[in-house]
Amino acid sequence: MRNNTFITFLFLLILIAVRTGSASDASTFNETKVLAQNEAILDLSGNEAFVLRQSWWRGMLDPGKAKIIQVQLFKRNEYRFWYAVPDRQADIAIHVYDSDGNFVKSLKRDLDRKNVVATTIKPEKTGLYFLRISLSAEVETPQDWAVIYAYR
Amino acid sequence: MKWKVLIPLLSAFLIPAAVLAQDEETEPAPAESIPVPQSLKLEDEELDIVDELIVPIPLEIFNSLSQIGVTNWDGRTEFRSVTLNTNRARTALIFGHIVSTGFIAVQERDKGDVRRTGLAVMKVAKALGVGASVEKHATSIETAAYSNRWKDVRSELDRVRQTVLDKMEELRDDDLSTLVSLGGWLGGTETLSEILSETYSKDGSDLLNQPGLVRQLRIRFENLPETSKNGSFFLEIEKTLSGLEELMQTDDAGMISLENVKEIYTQTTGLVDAIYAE
Repeated sequence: MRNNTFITFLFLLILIAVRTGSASDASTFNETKVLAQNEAILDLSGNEAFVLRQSWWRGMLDPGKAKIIQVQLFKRNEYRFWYAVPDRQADIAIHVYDSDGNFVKSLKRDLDRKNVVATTIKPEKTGLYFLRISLSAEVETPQDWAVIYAYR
Repeated sequence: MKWKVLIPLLSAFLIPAAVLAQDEETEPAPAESIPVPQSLKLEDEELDIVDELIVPIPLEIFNSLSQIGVTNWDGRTEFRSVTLNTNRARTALIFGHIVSTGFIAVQERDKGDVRRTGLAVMKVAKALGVGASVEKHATSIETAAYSNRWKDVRSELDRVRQTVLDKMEELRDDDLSTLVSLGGWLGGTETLSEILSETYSKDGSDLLNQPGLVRQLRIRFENLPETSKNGSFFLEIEKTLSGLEELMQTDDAGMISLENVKEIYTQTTGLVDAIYAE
């Protein structure tokens, strides 16, 4: 009986240790996010610096597919979004749509790597906007994507 | 002497990067290698919408507000006394609200209020079981505020908020994470509607044009399991969110009336009071 209690106690201890371990291992570090952050870094300093939000989006995207991200934007602010995937040869794109689903012109920022793209928008109206991120069909494997954003 | 060497060196790296990063206006042109639709059919069930909803922080809104001349933030930070109980759902709402109060203190540049925020954040984070993850950020907030490094205070506050959301995700407490976001949004909206009630303008009222966001928050709230809606104020949340969705619709001129702005303030402040009073 005492032995059983001891084994249960040990099991619980191991369970707690595993749980704690997985919690600390699953930090917010994400290589794809870092790719995006590296491209953003120059825009985050200086007189007209963008302010990076700590929140970000992530997921998996199949070749030839697109995902839609919803984001509330405010008039007079300027927003910049960076979208990254790990495959250096991947052709990717990000576009902005308004709350009715209409295409909104944004400024595409040419970066020196293909697998990170950025776009800037100064919304004419406050409201919910939609970002469409896409991955070309030529990429061989599904991509772990990340989108970060900043405002000023 | 060092700078004489460093500046050309830095320029050598930074200028080409700046030249490379040029902006170009995008249109849904057929020449693009990836087809781009002219419009999105939002009702299309095959549209693959990312579930994660990022709620704006008050500073994002205040940044826009300051561009129409609203720059006086003195006395805007309001601390409610917090008595925590065993209701974790309520604690999560309060946590989100306290962080939003911190953002207002940053806007006000009030070191004392920022310090109070740091202490309150720690108290509530401990109650949520995430105190250890938040501690270093709380310390950084206080240190940065006392050195007048407001940019760092702002980043740390956003970081503390995100850390708690990440922890909740790790601990599979997604329901609480929704409530943290909701509490933060309520705090920001309460202050914004209060300011706009006093300094009303058409341009300013546009900032409350958030029915789409409220709808998303309401859907997430409605989808929470009943076990997470523990407390009499939860009924009020559902009712208030529905009311706000209506009140935040702009009229034909693209504005929200002063009457509606005042009502938004009354409803949000009433709900926050009810949450704290439980």
